[in-house]
Amino acid sequence: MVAIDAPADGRRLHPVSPVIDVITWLPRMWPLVFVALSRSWGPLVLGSAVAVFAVVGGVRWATTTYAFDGRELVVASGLWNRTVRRAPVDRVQQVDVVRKLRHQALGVSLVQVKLADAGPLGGDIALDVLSIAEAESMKVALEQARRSAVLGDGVAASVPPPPEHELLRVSDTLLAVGGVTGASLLFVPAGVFALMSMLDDARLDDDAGRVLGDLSVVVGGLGFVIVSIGVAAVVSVLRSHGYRMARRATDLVIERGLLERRATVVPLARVQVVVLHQNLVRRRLGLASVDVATAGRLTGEGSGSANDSVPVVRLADASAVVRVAMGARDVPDADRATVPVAIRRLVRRRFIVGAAATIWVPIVFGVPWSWVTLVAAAAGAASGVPAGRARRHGIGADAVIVESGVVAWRSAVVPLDRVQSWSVTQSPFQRRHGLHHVSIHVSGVRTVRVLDVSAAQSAALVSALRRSVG
Amino acid sequence: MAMPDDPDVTPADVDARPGVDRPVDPLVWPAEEGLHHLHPAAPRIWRMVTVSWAVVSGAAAIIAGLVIAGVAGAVIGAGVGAVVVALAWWYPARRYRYWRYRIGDDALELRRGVWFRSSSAVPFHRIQQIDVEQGPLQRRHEVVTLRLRTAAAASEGQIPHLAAAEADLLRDRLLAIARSETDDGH
Repeated sequence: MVAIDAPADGRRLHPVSPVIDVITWLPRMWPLVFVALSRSWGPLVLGSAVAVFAVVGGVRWATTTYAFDGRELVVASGLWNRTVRRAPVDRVQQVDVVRKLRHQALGVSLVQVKLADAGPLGGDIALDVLSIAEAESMKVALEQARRSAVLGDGVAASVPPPPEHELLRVSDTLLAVGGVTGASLLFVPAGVFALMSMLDDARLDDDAGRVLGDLSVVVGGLGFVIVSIGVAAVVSVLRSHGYRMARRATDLVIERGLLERRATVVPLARVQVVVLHQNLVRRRLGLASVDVATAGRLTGEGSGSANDSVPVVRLADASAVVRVAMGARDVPDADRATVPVAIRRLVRRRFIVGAAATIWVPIVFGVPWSWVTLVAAAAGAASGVPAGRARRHGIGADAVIVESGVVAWRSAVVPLDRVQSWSVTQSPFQRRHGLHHVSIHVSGVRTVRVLDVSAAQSAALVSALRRSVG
Repeated sequence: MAMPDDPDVTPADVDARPGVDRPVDPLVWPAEEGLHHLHPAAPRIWRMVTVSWAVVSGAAAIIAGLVIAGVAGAVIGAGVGAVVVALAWWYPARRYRYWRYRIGDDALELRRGVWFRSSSAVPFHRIQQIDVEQGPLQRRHEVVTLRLRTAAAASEGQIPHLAAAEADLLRDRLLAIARSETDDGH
């Protein structure tokens, strides 16, 4: 049996780690804080809770050590159950140095080393927290070690670190536009809905106050919409202020954030899939966002950072990022359209979904309301045609491209040499029309699905996937 | 971008043209060459599980019918339960019939599914780990489940109910192939 050995020359995390723990945990105990503040014994309970968190954080600090010998990062932690995690340099998917507001206030950084590990411990090693200098030197040491693994120790040591070539910067104005046109756009319909319902309520007022009431409601509603848009814009700017992407040798370096500063290093060799997103509004404005995904999977704090690599840029810049992320591989055209029978199937499915989702309306409110179900079913069916036409894919010598969506359009490029496995499925309804779904699995949790392709198309896809492993 | 399989025609042309020599449908494996079945005990094990659940569901349906609509409801519940039990008895044999695996040139291929057909492939050089698992029912029938893990969380490399000896041989063979593929530079 192999003993679990902590690194002999292990270093400790920064001594303010327990303080960071308290600051992190306390907001999650908000019900306790809320109750404590309204009672005379509250401060005592709150103080006890802080003391407990501080002790737990102190024990975590005292029992956690890390060491990096140039080949692997070793982190030992735990009091009763000792865990030693080893991360060989050649398995590192991505390195993030994060400085949230609390880190900035205390002059420390969080280092996240993401691994392709779907196990119970999650896919990352977090050094929470190190001094700023220590975090930077750890990042540099990991990069140096990776270069040594590629070039050899002697060569890497003699060659100076490669220069950075800036690929793009995103201005605050563009980030604000991105916030308003992105997922935060959902704030706007909510605001409009609020305005409409308030107007509806105002009609119940007496005649004398009607004009004034309507006016105040209109102003209030418009104000709500403007605030919603403003919040979306501000959140986007706070999240990605100072966004900068650069290429350094075979790595992508991304820096972003105002309150939470994040510096990410993505080795291009670890890129599993690149996804370009556009919604209807962004398409009109010629904007897009890009998701450069590695196999790294984060749990807990900072999760999701591997996504949304480029929050919003001009479409030409987004396409350039896709090409850079794909390295020397050719990006194929999505030249294979959905077969007509698949579009007809999608129309039928959406008709049924539209009808099924609203069938309760005539049941509850009576037969005269059947038009709601008819309209929903017709709208569903009508949306099936553009949705079916938007589904396209292409097969190249080095990659597969899959496009889908109308309102939220996405184009995923999968390097063939990154494919881990694949599967072809067929439901009884698809069998009638000879259609298949093809799922392409890459490292991590990503799966790219090519929906409702003909048997010949799925055979061509599988043939390309086979060639990649042949 | 020219298509590697047929650069002169559009994909739609290829799909529409009758009698064209096109790649084989991935869900239709030619003949039975190299195909392997699961252990003959597989349908029995599946049946024990599905019928147990069906009996419990049938009993619940009878009780629910009795509570909601009296004896008539109980009769309807019993009818529903009988259908569920019959399906649970019939389904494992069909499932066994469609379950096949084969060791291809570069990948382990699995085919399964009665209503929802599925064909998956796990390239040998992507195999990260091979687990052999055995539950209580499997122990009684001396079969195991072979689980192939890749770096993709969604990979579907699992062969249920293989004879234990056959699973050991298959595991060693897959590991040997995976090792040789890796040594070849994959």
